[in-house]
Amino acid sequence: MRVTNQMLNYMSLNGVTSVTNKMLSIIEQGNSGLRINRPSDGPISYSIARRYDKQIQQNDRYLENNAVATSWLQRQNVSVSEIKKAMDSAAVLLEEAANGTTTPEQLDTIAYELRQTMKQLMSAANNSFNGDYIFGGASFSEPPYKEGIAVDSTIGGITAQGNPSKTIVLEAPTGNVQIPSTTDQTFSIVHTDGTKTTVTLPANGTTLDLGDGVSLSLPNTTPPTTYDGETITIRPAIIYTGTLDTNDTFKIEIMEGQLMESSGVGGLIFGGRIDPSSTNADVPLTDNTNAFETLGKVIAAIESHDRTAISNMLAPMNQSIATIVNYQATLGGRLNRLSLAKEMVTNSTDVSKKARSDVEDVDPVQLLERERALEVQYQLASSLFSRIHSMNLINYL
Amino acid sequence: MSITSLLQTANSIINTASAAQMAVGQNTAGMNDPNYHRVTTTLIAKQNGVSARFTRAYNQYTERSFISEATSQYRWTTQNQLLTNIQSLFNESGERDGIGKTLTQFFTSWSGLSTNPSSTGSKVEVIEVAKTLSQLIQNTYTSIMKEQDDARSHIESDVRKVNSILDEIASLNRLISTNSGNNFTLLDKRDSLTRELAQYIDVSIVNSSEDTYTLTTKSGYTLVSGDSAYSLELKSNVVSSDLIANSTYTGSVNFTGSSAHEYKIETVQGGAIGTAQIRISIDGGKTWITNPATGDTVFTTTSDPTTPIKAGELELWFDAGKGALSTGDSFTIVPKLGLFWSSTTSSLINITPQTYADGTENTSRVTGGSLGGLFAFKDGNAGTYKNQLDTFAKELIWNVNRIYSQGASATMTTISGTQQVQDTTVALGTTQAQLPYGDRLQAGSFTLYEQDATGKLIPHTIQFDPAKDSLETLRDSINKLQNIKASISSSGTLDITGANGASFAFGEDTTGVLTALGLNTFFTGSDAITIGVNPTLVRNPSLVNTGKVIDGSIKIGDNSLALAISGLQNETIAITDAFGNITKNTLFEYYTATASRVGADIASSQFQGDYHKTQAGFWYAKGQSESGVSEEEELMFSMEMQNLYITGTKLIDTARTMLDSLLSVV
Repeated sequence: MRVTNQMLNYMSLNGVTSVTNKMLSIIEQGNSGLRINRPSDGPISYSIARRYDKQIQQNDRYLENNAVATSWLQRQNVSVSEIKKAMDSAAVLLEEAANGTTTPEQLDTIAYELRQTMKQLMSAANNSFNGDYIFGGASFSEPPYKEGIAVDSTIGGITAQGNPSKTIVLEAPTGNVQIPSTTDQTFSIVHTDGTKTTVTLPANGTTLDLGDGVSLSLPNTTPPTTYDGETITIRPAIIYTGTLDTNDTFKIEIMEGQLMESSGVGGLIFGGRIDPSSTNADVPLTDNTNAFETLGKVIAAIESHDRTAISNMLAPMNQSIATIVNYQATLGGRLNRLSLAKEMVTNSTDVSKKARSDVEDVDPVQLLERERALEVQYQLASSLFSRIHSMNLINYL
Repeated sequence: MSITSLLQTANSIINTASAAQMAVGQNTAGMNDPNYHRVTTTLIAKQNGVSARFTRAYNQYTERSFISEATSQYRWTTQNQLLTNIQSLFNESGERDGIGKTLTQFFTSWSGLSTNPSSTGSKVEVIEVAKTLSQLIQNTYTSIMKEQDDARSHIESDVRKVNSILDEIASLNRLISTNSGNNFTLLDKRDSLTRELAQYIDVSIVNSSEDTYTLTTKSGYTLVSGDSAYSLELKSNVVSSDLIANSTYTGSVNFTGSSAHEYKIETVQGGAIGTAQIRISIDGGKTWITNPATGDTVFTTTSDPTTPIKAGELELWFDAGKGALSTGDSFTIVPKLGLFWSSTTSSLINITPQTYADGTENTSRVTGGSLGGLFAFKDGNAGTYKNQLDTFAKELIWNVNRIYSQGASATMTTISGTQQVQDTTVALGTTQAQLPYGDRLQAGSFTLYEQDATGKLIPHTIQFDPAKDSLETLRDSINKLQNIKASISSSGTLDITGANGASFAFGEDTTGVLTALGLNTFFTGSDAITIGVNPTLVRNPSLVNTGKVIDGSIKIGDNSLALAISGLQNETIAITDAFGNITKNTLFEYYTATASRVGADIASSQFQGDYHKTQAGFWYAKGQSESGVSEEEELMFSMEMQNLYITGTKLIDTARTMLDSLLSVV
């Protein structure tokens, strides 16, 4: 085969260019630490590495969310513990009251203490985190609980207005009286010493003025409602204004497809009465497990010195406390789940980083080996190029 | 032999040696010219001396093979260089940011907002990330367009260059055929021009004899035949028809829109325009576009430009009153810049490089040289990436807005749609309405909440059927409400306002009409170039929806909407491109597949370029081995000729001595 000068030039230049191109790639890999510096360096590896990027980015956010969810649940935990403690002390006071040896004065003192406990409970149930109320379900902007009054009676539809400082016990007129009535009707206020004071409902009226700004609204129905000496008790109550659907709670994304319920539905934990202006269904807790309602009834029983009623509240008090304890356990479980999720997400990040590194990062040892080999190749190509070009027949002529 | 004969022989030797030395000199001078073909000297002994025959070292087979590989090398290296230019737009290796990472950041910012749904700071973050994402998508798209424009400029320049070279070769052919002397320099020049031509377009040397030199494209279109040069032309938006022998149709197809693809239209059921049925392909008839209205691949012809056939990126209609179509009649639309071969009969033949969807190339078109690479990049690669970016943006906008438009953050007293309707009297689901997402609308209802005097949100259900309801009937349906009034703006958007100071909010929408009309939406636009963030939200990020209406009021703490949008990042959705092809993937995977495709295209073009470079190198070396100049060979031959020359002079000296001796005797 004839060998021409152009062939030698072409071959030599090609060899050196090829080596320098490879060295450029090695320098780039050394500088970046990456084997895949652009999609064309390995389209599949590139795509896999970006998938890991996404996972790591998502996990960073999940960890931040986890911290927020943990704060929410810890805040709830503190509040529920406060409430549990207050309920425990209320239970002790109830037991004292149920003791047959307590004097009426002692009962009044216990009732006073329980009213304070009720305020304390409401305050704890209205706790907030970063300005958001934690026991309102999906309703964050307004406190979920407010003070109110409740009417207990076998006759439905009676509501009370005002802010009585003590429980009021009324007796309806006897003799199957129908209200609204065309004549005046007499109701009796029953005092703790057994005495009674009468109050008159005007003819055709349904609003009974009880004095001190307190009034009672009786059902204005057709046909009229029949009364026959029923007891009507006006007592303190806590009104719940939050949401009740467990699906509407505030949820935080802690892992892919995993949501953590971070707000509590107060109505389902501590109970309370439903705001009459709300369209919500009634609190789906039974009377025996509704802590606020139990406390309200306990106060009513003690303030009216009704020892039978006081004794009857012991069981509901314990069951209400049990409901709160159950929720404490739920919170504990959720916090454990958060901890586990955090660990899983952290592990997922570690695995993703390792996998991304395996796919994308350069192996320094291999890189150095390749650099050394290319160095030798470059020196050889350059040396051959200069040697061959220094050979010339003219030198021998 | 006489002394005179001896002198004649010596003269012959000296002349031949001198001529041979001239050839050596010529070879040595051309030694570093890669297009130079050496002159070989053959000495022929004759009775009274020696003569030399000079030939040009040229192997037609080697040259053809070299040209064939070199033109492929230029095609792939050109394509590779252009692809490399846009790779940086998609590159997110290491710490580099791009659309993929920003997309994930966009969704995680919604996840962050879901942990504090009333936080204006978190809403600002969502807006800022969304703005960045929109800008990145727009910038990437426009950067690809710019590369396409650059490719177009190069195409125009290359076509001018090709036509100039063809003229030059034809002129050379004329000179070579008429020149009776040594044509070696002219032949070298012609070969050099042919090699240069191969840089721009695939070339086949059909006949390389001196006076009937013929060049064609690889697919057989004559470029030069003897002293006749053909030319190439660039034309945009060309429609050509191919009617069967007895077809009576004398009209053509009209279209609006542009595309990187050629559209082939084939009549599958002949008849008058309005009844005849056609099918449409963007890959030369290998596959057929799905008709979204029927689900099959058949479209009914129309001559009404207001109710055109919507196929892929084009809208089509036929000329009316031009006869009936026959089964088998076909048309080709080149809705872009096309390359045409101009024959002597003035007819234009489409030779625009064409790559099918399966990656194979139309071998009846130009396939090589820089023109092959430029067209493959402009129409094949860049066109595909732009389509995919458009599809990605379209799906991102639709899916985010579909969730977002059913949410609320506060009641509003007025809102303007961001999407325009061209014809407000026609059903919104029809093509005449020209509503960007009109084809996605479903029959059903949506909820409009009206706030009453107590502040409570009262739900009203508005029924909607995209096949029947126009923008005007929708407006009228809303206007039946007591305190919410709708109107149509002069630009064709729907505006809703609370009357008598009333405010309102949106709720569940089973139809998609809120999204399509841009009412209560997060993103504006419908593709990669128009995507943006709703300016109302940019001005006031606190209005970003995170929840929905529950029990008659908007719960500030509700984060269900934010969670749903965040969850979209892992959701597999049906992604439909402009041609009705459906891919089931997450938005991130769809985008990353585009970036990987860029990488794969570059790697493939790099491989092809390297492969053909190696092949061309082999044939170049072989050509050099046959036609190139060896310095040593020339020096040795020169020495031989020097000795021959000395021999000649010695003979003269001998003859002179002999003659002197003879004369001294006399």
